[in-house]
Amino acid sequence: MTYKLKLVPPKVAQGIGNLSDDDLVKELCLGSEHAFEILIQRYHAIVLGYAVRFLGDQSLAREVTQEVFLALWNERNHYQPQGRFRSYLMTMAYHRCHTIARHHQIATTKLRLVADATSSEMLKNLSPLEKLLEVEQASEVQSLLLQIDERTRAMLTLRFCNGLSYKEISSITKRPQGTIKAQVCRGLKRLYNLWAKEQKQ
Amino acid sequence: MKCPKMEEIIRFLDGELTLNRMAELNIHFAECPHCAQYRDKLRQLLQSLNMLSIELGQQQSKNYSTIT
Repeated sequence: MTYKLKLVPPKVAQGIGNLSDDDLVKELCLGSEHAFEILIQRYHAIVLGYAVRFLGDQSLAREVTQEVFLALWNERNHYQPQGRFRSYLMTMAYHRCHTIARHHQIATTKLRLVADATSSEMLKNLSPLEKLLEVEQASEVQSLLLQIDERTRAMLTLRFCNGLSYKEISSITKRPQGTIKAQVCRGLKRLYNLWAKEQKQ
Repeated sequence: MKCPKMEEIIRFLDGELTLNRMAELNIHFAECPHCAQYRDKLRQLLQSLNMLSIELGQQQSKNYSTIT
């Protein structure tokens, strides 16, 4: 089945562009395509970024992102506006990524990292050589991240790449915050050890 | 003060310690180059993770006009 979902530039939906996520979802429930477009503009990078990091495959990540936004449209009446739209969306992304990962058995897939980093805010003030080193290091960390078990990788990604709070991660994964904190700590320790080992070689 | 375990340095960087404990660790880092170096390396690792969020999401999203 092929979907064609047209994303319209920001100027089309200027009038409702300043609404909160919850207000946009209310508009969405009334069938507003403009509200849908704005939500896509706000969250497309976040969902896609999570999926790429988790799956290590850009094509599959795009597939997941498409599914998440289509599900948002198709199931728009299921969301209860409580100021937690981001968590709601990330929950869908989290479950779909796990399903795809199991289906494709991609835990060891190597990532084709997008290395063109020159526009990144974090890299703006660095020299070209420093930028290159930063990107190389991020690339290395990404490949090491894929060596971590699926569940822990999801926790690390949600926490440190997506910047979600433990409360939000708990809501997404349906696991207690204490368990998640312990898992994040163990995961980071494991990642650090892998990283340190790589640096010695 | 005894050197903190790695788990505690992670919790320090993750903002999961009490303010008092964070202050104690900051004092310790000022006195112990070994732990300070450990903290800096972990911070570097976290920055790399954070950078992935910018690169992978934004670079990909920039190019979208349709999802097929």
